[in-house]
Amino acid sequence: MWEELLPPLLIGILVIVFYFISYKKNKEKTRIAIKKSLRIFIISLPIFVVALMLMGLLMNDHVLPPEWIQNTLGSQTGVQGIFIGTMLGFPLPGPRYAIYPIANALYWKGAGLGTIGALICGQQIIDVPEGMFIEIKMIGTRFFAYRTLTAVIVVFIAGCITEMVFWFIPHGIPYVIPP
Amino acid sequence: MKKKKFDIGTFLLDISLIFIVIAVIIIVIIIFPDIYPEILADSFRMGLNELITIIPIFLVATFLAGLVDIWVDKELVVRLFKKTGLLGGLFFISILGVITPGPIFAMFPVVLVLARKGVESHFLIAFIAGQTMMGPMRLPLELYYLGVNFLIIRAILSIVMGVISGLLTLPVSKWLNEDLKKQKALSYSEKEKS
Repeated sequence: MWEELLPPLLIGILVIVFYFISYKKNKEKTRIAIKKSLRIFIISLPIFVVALMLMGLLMNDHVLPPEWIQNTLGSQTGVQGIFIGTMLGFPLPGPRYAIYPIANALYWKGAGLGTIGALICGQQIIDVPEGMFIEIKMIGTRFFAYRTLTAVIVVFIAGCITEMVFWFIPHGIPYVIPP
Repeated sequence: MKKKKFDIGTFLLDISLIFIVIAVIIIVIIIFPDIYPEILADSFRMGLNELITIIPIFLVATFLAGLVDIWVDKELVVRLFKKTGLLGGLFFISILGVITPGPIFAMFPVVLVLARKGVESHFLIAFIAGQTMMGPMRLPLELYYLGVNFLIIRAILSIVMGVISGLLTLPVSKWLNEDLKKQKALSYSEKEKS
């Protein structure tokens, strides 16, 4: 348990140090940063709770049988799993930070690391649906359409590379699911 | 300061993940009519237990995001946007994207400013590809859920993805530049009207 908490704990200590330096440099800016952070926390937490509920549902063996995940998204499926991960990631709504508990649940259910990598990158690169509409309005349809096309290709490549890299190095994905 | 108007459309898009959870719950009730209370209770208990563990990490993530947002100047990104050849430029711009914080829609005005300064589309697409991949708020959460190794590999891949995106855009860069110019003209005339 402590092993999993250590890296974020170190970041936490760093954040406290950064705030201390920030306060020394500019008190007003630091006050605004604290206000803004609390606002982000209050707005984001309910959506994150929903993501955790989804994680809980996905971890249930009745809802998502591990054999099915292994046969569809597992490493042994090769590029098929990575392709499905890519295609699942793009339309997945919600903020980008909500993908992590879902990705962890899918991994421990048997999904391959390439699939997990493609799923995360796919969900983050386009930001469906909110960012997508703003992008079309501000930057234009042509730019958005081409960016989406390149995104599908690079996310798939990233998934394949992720899968191959973890043949040689330990994955170290923590088992965070509570009993 | 201008007060932001409440937009029901944006709000529904923000909470769209809830609809997926509701859909899963309905499917569970239909498929397992006898044991669905147990399944749902187990799932929600698991989610709730995880919430208790994650709250301090989530707090760290949001405080990091708030601090970075206040101290990192978006204009700095525009000033740092220098091209040094095709591959070197794409590599540098992808790194710049990865270390630039903020939501994607906050980057679109930056992209328009860069386009106005004559930056070509393949560099812009490389920048957006890198920028969307990492963020200060996601860092502690990715560390907690996926570990250090996965985070490092994904950070390196984000830069690679930016470079490949740029290279894939190169053949149609001029065609996209034309569209960007039209877009700029459109946004100016809209401003004039208002």
